[in-house]
Amino acid sequence: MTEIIVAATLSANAQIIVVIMILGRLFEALWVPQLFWTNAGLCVVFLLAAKWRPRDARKLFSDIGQWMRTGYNTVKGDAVLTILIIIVVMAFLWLLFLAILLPPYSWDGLAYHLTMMGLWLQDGRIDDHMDSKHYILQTWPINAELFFLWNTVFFRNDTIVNCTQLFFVPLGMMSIYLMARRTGRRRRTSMLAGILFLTFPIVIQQATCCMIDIIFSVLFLASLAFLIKPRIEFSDVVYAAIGLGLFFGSKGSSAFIILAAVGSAFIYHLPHIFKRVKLVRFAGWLLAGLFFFLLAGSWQYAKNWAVFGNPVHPYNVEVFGKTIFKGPMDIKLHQGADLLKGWKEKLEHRSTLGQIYYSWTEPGKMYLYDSRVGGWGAAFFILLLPCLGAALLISLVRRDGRTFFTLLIILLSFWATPVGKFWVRYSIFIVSAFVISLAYLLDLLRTSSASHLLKGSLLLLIIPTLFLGGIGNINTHPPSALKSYLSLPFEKWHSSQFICGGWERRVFHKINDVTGPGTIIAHDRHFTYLFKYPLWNRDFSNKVFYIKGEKGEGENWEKVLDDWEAAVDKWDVDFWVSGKDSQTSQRARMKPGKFRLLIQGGKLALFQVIKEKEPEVDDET
Amino acid sequence: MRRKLIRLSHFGIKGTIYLMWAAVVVQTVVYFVNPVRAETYKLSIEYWQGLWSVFFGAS
Repeated sequence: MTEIIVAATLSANAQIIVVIMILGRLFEALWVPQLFWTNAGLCVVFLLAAKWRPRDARKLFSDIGQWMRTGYNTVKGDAVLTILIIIVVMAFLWLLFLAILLPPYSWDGLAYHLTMMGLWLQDGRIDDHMDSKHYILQTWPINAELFFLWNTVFFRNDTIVNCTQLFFVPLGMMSIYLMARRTGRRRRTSMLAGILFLTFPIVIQQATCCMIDIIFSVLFLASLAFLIKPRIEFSDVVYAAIGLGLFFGSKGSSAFIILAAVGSAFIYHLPHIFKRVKLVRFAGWLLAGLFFFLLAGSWQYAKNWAVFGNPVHPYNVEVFGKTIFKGPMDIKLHQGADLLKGWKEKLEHRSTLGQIYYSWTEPGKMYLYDSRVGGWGAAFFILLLPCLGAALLISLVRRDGRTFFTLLIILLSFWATPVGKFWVRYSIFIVSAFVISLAYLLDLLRTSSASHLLKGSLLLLIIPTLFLGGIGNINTHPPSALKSYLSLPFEKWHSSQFICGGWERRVFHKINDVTGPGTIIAHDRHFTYLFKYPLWNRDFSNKVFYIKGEKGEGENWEKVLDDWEAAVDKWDVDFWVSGKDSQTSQRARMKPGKFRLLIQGGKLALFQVIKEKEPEVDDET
Repeated sequence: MRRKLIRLSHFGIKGTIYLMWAAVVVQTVVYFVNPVRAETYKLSIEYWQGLWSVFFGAS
């Protein structure tokens, strides 16, 4: 049943992506009725194709009931597992509460993940912010952002958008459980392995915010659960392909991880392929898999290829000195240490392995959703790391190929991660290797005192892990910030409350105060503030437009500004926000009869566009 | 020969487990000796106290 749930979830996620892309990109009709009825219609078609009958529904409910009873019987009698489950359920509920209470607050979310979503919701199509100079908004894969959209569009409100990654956590747990079972672990230890997924601080910190690292890693874990299945079958190849496609479509760096995982899994399955499946039949499976992989994950790459002539624009790709895809940017972005303020001097002199080990010693004071170093917690470093070493060695000695190769595939995939490997949020999936190792050793030690010692140590370490920073140190909204936030009227519960920078926050507060249903706020590229998403109201009742206020090559400033003013009139703009010293702001200040300065400070200035009153019609004349 | 190999494997596994526990001890020392740990605990206690006062403290 767990396998069915993971497979069904992957299929449902793929359907969401495909339908949104077809409606949003091809038909430019991304509205609720179209979205709802297309998905409902597809569900009906699939049920008819599967010849679904009422007795099948009865069997399904019966199977679910049996699955839950099996789960209960597995947990019953194991004190450590029971305690862990209680702790994790309480943690999940607390995170759910936080995710719904708080507006979106993560930097990357406010800067681009949700900004993309805001434009799609407003325009009813999948557009790429071609007005933005930020290449991320134009070219990066968007599967994860489409899941944010899915959680927002039906409510026309971002109340549960923070829950998106949290909803992926159970899928991650079930995927790890499945992976452990595939390696021959007992139900009890597999459950323990799965449950531990929500005890790592980086997972807890990310679970309530609109970053995409949990989505990224969980999609990979779900794919691995099918990829490593002994005696792989056609359906496993299909579901692995769907998962890898979704994974590929959420971040470009996944390509390297996919190559490592699929390559090593192929070698692992070679005996089975040659003896039972036969190569020709397997080639057919791979072709089918490729179809589903591309369907689930290639949309943005195809668009980039059509528009820029480069599927991975803006990156320049060279192989052995030969340019494969031409682009303005070196692919060696995110070399880790270059982007790490405060950690560069600690990392740059270390080898790759040294950087990883240093990061895993948890050298940071507190955990963040972007814990640049650290993020695994005490249990990982103290207990699970030695468990991995022991499990690798013992499984090799005992010729336990399933366990050894599964661990190897995960580790190779981790090693293929192109971004700094010490940067934990980019490789959350590696925790599966550690918890499966723990499960392996527990099965090996069975009911011996060593097994009890291992479980007791785990419990002892999980509690301070959660206390220290899993639940505790959420830096973005400490208790003082929460207290002031909760004291505000409900209408002011907005992302701008969490914006850093005193003046910028005040400008955004003013924007939230003055914009309402139907109001239009416009900006140019001199609105260089990092966060664009807070320009929208939480119910997306206002509109955010870009109007050109920059001078291009060979252009004249006077003409640019005249055109800008004409566009402001044409589009009936109510408010204008730009850089404080931009040309458009200077022009606006010169016309106080038309542009009223509401607030300026920091890098921003906000103007109200004064509309000419229409003359009143005298009915007497 | 097979019995010898099994015994060797058994002791190899036992030895690995003992080595693992030795590594756990070392890792524990490395983890807690880090001076940042005390600061993290202090901040965590403050966080939980602050959270308690937000939801249950006097208004």
